[in-house]
Amino acid sequence: MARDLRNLRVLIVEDNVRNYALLARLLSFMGVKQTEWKRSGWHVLEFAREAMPQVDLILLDIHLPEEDGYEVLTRLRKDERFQGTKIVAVTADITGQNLTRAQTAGFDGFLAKPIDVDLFPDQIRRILDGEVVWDLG
Amino acid sequence: MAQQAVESSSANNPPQITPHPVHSLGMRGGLGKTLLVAFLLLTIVPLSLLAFLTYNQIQQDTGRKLVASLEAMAALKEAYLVDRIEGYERELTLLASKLEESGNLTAELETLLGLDPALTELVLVDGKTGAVLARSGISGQESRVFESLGTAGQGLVMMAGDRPMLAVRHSWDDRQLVGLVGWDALREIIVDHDLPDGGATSLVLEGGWVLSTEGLNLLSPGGEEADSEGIAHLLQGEIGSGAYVNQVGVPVYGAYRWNPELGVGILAEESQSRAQAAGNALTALIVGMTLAVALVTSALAAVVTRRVTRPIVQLTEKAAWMARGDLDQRVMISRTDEIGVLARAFNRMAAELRVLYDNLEAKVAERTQQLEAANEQTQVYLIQLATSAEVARVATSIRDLDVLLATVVTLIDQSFELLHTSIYLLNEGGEWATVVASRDQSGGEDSRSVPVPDRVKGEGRAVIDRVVTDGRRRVVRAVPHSNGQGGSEQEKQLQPAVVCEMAVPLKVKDRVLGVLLLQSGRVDDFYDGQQVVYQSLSDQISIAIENARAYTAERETVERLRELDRIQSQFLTNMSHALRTPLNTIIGFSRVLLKELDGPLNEVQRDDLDAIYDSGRQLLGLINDMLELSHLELGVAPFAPSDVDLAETISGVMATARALARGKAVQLYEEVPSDLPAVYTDGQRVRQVILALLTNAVKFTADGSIYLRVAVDDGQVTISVRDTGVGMPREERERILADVLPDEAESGQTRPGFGLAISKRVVERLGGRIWVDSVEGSGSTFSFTLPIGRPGDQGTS
Repeated sequence: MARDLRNLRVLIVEDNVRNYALLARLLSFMGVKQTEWKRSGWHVLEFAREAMPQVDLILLDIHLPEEDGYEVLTRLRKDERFQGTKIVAVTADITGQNLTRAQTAGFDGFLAKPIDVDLFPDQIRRILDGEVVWDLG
Repeated sequence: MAQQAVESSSANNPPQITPHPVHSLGMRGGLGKTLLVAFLLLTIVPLSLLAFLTYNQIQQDTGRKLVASLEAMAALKEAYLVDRIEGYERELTLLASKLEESGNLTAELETLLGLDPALTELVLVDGKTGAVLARSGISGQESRVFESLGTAGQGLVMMAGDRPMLAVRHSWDDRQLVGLVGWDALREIIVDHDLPDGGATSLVLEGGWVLSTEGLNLLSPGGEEADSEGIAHLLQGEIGSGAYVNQVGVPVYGAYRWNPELGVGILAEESQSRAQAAGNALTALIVGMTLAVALVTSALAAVVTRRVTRPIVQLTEKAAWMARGDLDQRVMISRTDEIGVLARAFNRMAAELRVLYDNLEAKVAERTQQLEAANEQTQVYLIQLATSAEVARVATSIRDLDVLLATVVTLIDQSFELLHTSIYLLNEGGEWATVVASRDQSGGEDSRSVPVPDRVKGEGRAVIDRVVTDGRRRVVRAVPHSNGQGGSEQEKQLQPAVVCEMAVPLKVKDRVLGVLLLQSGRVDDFYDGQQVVYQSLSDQISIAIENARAYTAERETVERLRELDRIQSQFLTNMSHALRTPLNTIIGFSRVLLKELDGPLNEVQRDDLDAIYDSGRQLLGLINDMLELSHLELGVAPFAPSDVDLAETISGVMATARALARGKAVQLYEEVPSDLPAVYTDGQRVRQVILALLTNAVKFTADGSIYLRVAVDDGQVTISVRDTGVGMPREERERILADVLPDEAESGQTRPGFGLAISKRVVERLGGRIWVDSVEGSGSTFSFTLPIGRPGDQGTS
């Protein structure tokens, strides 16, 4: 545990609460204290500055209600508040079509569901270190 | 058919018989000339021969006669000469008796001379000495000649200087009286007009002197040679006659007679030309006669020839005219002889020929008509054939039924020039016949449905009902309601009337699909031969309809299947996603528990959680396989070929496989050639296949060895995985790669999957082949090939 993750601020955009719970648990085992759950991209943008003025990492599901992950990513990238934020796709859709799209969309990482519990902490750390991680499951 | 066409084309142009004028046949010159020449030769040649022979005979006779007369003349002259000489001798005797030998002998002699005027001189010669005793009236110069008279025994005639003289002697006692007869008396003897005109008598003396009326000539000074044959004979003392050239170069007949007593030759000659003058006149007469006869003969021959040849020439000319096709020629000869018979026979023959020819022309005309009809029929057949071929072509090239039928209807309507052509098709239940394509000569199209009530009761189109009912074609003549099925009264009047129609069933086997209805304005349409053609066309259309329908059905099926595939793919994708979401939780949390992040676990709890986690992973594997299979089936699975180093790929796979085999008594061996070329393929996919085969081998080999072998051969690389495991029966071997079946799990030890099914599809996508060899109980060998070169490379197919 070279890095202290206690002050890391993470947003998890996920419509399935159990999957959010799993990710949150895994993050907390890593020492992350500030984790917020949003059911949609819209909720991310509406998220109060006061509650989390800076976001370090967003784990973004692709299949979302209302807007899909790509639209959310585009809007997040336009917002100056998320300029330094690492945005990682976490999705069960590993079709070639989706992979290609994700690669060109500009994600900082791609984690396939089901996520590998054993590999997850390391993958997150590598992403935070600036490495682009693609785990196709 | 082609032969008919050829015959008919020649029949269209019967050979024109054009009589050409007969300008010259060359017959008049031929036969006439021959006859004339023959006539003339037959008359003139014998006549000429006869004339020649006659002339010859005359010539010979004339010569002979002349010679005889000349001989007689010569004899006569000799006799006359002798007679005259004897007369002179008698006179001399008389004178001698009067000689008295008085003193003056000379005077006495002159007196005596005066008594006989024929004598010019008298000489008295001494008989013993020969000396001249006396003489009368002679000049001194001449006396020398006479001096030799008594001494030399000269001939009777002698030369006195340049003048000949005839010496006549009378001897008595020792005296001799010589009387000389002068030139004039001699000349009187020679000149004799008894000879024919031009004839001449000469005296030839010894020494070559020739005494003729023209004078005295010395033939030859030597006297030994003579130019004239007659003189030569005379000088030799001969008597005879002959034809020769005389001394002045004139051809003559001559008679010669030498009198040795007198020492004188008589030569009677007549010029041959003179002698022949008479013969020439006769010859001229004969030639003239001959010519006259020839002329008359020629004229006669010409007349006869003409009389004989004219009818023959006429016949010949007429025959030539006839030969050139003018059979109306007749010969105008009214004779009773053979030529008349010939002419009548000719006329009869010409008349018969005329009749025969007329018959022939009639036959030719008839045959021509037949050929034209056949030709027309051939044209129709050709159109029908062409239409059939076109319909066949359309039937195979157009798949859209409506377009097909519209094209066919237009084709038939235009090819056969019909008034109206339409195709009715029955609906599925067979209750309705609907016009699906229609065409009339105005180009208009018609489309409406015709009810088929009770199949019989249709008004106007009852024929369609009946054809649909029994499937037999029908021809209706005198169509009651003319002109199609529509249009205003005005339109109906503008269109030509339909006089007959034909309804042909469109059948496939015994099933009636519809009806082809044809309407024509020609009375002679739709008879036997044409019916067959239309039936054949209908059969083609029927097949085309069936094909088009089958094609449509097939196309719809394909589209439906494609849609089904798309739906299936989407379904699987959605399903995969939907299944992964709960699996995420199951696998994730069971793993969290197993890692004892939530607290320590006892043995039983750990085993239970293991089962949950393991099953979750299996389920995930199955979902992945399913998704991949469907993507491979649909051809949407991504492939990324590049130049792949197979050796590297294999060493990586072998490491993974060894990890899989950990804990089993299985040894893995690899045999890879060192000079393995780079293979243009998808390395990840190849890795996937090799791993699947190795996984399968490990799965079915509890204890033994697994060999991976790579071989390069003929542009492809073969990778085989052999195990010493349980093997498989033949039936399983056959279906293990063919069917999409989950790999059988061995009593829960390994996870079931679709590895082999996926491998088969992947290998095929990579352009290779996969197969299995196996003996039950002694292991299996899975092999697959990969092409080395890029697709399209030379020599690596």
